[in-house]
Amino acid sequence: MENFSHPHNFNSSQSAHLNPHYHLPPAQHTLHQQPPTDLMSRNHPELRPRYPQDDQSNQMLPPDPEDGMPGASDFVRKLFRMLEDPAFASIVCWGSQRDCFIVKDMTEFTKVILPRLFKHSNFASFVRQLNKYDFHKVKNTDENAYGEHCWTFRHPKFRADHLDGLEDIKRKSAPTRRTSTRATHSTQSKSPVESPAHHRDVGGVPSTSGGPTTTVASTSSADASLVSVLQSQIDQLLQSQQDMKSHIYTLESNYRSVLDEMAAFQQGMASQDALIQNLLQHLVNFEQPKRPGDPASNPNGQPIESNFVSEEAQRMLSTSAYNPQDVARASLQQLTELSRRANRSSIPMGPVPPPSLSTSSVPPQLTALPRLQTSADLGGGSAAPQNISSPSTRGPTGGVQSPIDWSNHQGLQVLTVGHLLPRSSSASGPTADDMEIEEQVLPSASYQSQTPVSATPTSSASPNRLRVRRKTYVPGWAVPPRVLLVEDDAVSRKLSSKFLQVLGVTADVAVDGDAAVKQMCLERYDLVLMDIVMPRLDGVAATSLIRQFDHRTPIISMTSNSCPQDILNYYSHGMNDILPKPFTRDGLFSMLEKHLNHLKAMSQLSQIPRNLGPGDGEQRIKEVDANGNYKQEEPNRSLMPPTPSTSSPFPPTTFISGTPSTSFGSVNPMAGLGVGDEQQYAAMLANMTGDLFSDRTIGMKRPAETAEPDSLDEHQAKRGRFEAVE
Amino acid sequence: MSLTEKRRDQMFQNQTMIDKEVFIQLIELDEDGSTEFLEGVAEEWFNQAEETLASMDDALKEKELDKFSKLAHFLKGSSGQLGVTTLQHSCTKLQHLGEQWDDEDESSKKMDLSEEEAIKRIKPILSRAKKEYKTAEKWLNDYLNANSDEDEDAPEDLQTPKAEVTQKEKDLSAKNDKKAVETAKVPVKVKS
Repeated sequence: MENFSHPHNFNSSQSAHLNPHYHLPPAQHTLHQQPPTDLMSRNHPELRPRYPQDDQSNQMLPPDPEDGMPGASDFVRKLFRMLEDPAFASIVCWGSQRDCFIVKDMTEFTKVILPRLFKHSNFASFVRQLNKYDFHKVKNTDENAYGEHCWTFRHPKFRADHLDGLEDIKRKSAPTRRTSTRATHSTQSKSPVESPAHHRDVGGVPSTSGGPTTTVASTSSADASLVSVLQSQIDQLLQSQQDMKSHIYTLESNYRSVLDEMAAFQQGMASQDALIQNLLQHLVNFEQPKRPGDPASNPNGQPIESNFVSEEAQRMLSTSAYNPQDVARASLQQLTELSRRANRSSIPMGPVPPPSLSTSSVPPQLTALPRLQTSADLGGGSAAPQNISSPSTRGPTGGVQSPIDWSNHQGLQVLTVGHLLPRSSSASGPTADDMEIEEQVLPSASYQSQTPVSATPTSSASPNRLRVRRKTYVPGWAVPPRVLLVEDDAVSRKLSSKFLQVLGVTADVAVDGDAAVKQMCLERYDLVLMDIVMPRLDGVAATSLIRQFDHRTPIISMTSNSCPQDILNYYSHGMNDILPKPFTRDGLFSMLEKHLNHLKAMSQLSQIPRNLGPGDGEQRIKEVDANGNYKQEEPNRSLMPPTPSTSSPFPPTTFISGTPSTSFGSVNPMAGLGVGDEQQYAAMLANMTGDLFSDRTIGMKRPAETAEPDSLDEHQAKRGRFEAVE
Repeated sequence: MSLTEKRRDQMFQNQTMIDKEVFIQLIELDEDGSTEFLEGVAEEWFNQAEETLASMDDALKEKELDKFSKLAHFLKGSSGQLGVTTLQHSCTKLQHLGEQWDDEDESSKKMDLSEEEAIKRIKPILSRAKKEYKTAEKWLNDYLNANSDEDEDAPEDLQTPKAEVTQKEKDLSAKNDKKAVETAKVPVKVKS
């Protein structure tokens, strides 16, 4: 386009100035009487009628051969004439040396002279034109007589007494460029027929004394140049059309591929829908004969899902580029190794801390207790400070507690809510034990009470147990999940947000569906807990609205409506799960865990490859130092929470001196992982793959996972900013 | 077993009103023996329940069964969350009756109850619910008082002097009366 427009501009806007020049050479030789160009002759008639008072001078000057400026350009002529004109003497005049001219009154000059002679009233453009002709403004030296606002211009050849010099005053650069391009044009595009004709015309000029011939000659040459310019323009147009065509072709192919992808995506969505429908159907069928009217509770749902999961997961894993199977295999080897050592070390090891927990072993717990105590005091009932510090505090304490419990209760569940520990403690030592045991028992008890014993005890037990194991090596969230709690009932809201707080979740609260939708527009959340019956906008409607712009944030309905129709209705409006009301802390936690697994699993997965490599020797050395007597490598550490434990704030001396042998007579290092025997590895691995799968499908997290590192960072950045709102 | 726990256990004995498991989880939300959070929640619930029960009365008078059902549902939610099982169940039933069916009456599941019939069946259950609420309120207050007693004079005998209890009850009921007056002044905000 640029190429195209440039010559066009060139032709139209500049021709006024340029024409004289390239027509001048032929004209110069032929005649002095006639105005050399048609342009010239066009200019003067315009001048005359407007300013009859100037008639005399104008009429006299331009056609006059006696004006003494035969070869001078139009502009220079006008300039000269202007200066010679006594009518303008008060505004513009020659300088005292008569080698420059002075505009005495710029305003008058702009108002009177410019419109008359130069047909505009812009002083700046007059100056520009002067500059083009190589006139330069001169500092007023001795011309102060005319006041400060006068302008003096000088050209070495522009002198009142030196008319011959005027001929040499030419436009700078532009004309030369113009002539050269013209030359190339004529050589390139002129047909051989035209060319001689042109020469003949030029050659014939001297012999003919009349003006018309010259005009013909110049017009024909003008035509020729016009043709060539047009020709080049057409070429350019053709070229750009070609470009356009290819561009459009690219766009079309892009469009087609986008369509293809969309179709594929739709298929994927459809199959996912079908899967979910299937699951639901299963769920409802499963539920109905047993307890009509009871909400589809998780414990029952899980076995089906996990069965389903394993085959699906297998397929997904095999196609995954990341190939977690390698990781799984590697960790299996590690675990085998571990269990071998565990068997060896079942002999009482005394003060030797379990290898996997060496850095964050016993002392952190002891020191952590007072710390937690203080944070509780500071909090004064609200656990906000705990929430903030949770990644660091929970890491060590969680890691520590597990070996204690697992030594006594292998295969049982440990809830790693570290900061719950200090409460209601009377004895000093076994505090943690007591609490932990209670916490272990509670969930399993509640599951049994909820689930009829007939409901496939083995399969319902396995997710439970497996979930346990995950908790042990992922004691907390990698980052505190951000949850939006939508609840109109103040009491439930207060309780639920407290539950969330205790579970290490950062919660914002919306009081109805309307507020929830608005809040979802403003912020990103990892999960939404949505009440159903609410004023203004109920949970189902709010979910539909949210689903219009947010397709993947899991929305869990909290409801006491329990009939299957309702539940299907919730699902069909875009909800991902049901949390029957009233819910317990454990119910809430397993729900969070199920849907926010990526916040833990990701840290887990990202840890494994890194720690499998030889790269973290330094950390190991540190650990060995800290524990003095421990020399072995600990491959299983890769399954432990990342850095907070290794870079623990406790000095090494504390580790050694503070290691009490009293309450930990024999510590099974495997207990920390909840691994008692080899049969469990398989189940564990299956669970890990199951986890991967649930990450991908439940809650439709697929896009989120690819963007995971980002969102993790985001959370890290946000963590400090948000606290529970009550 | 600490003093608090003994007392707590005593309070849980011989009652079916409160779901112990749920309630213990609430207790555990408080830091180390304090009842601050629980008190806050209980306070809120007292206000809410009284307000809601009053609104339910109004709705019944106006024969707005739909509204009545929603109010019952609302109270059911918070009661359940607090572990007040009796009230929760009554509210469930009231909610259903507001929808003109009776969960204990098979025929009503096929055909809606008439409005009159529904209201007729609602009345006894509503008054039962009110009684249940009063009992739960008293129990909760007792629990909170027992705990704060322990904070103040821990080594005291388990048997709380009867006089003190009655005095406390009087105080509380006076407080509640005052509260009721306050709620009456404020235009009742109906949550549906």
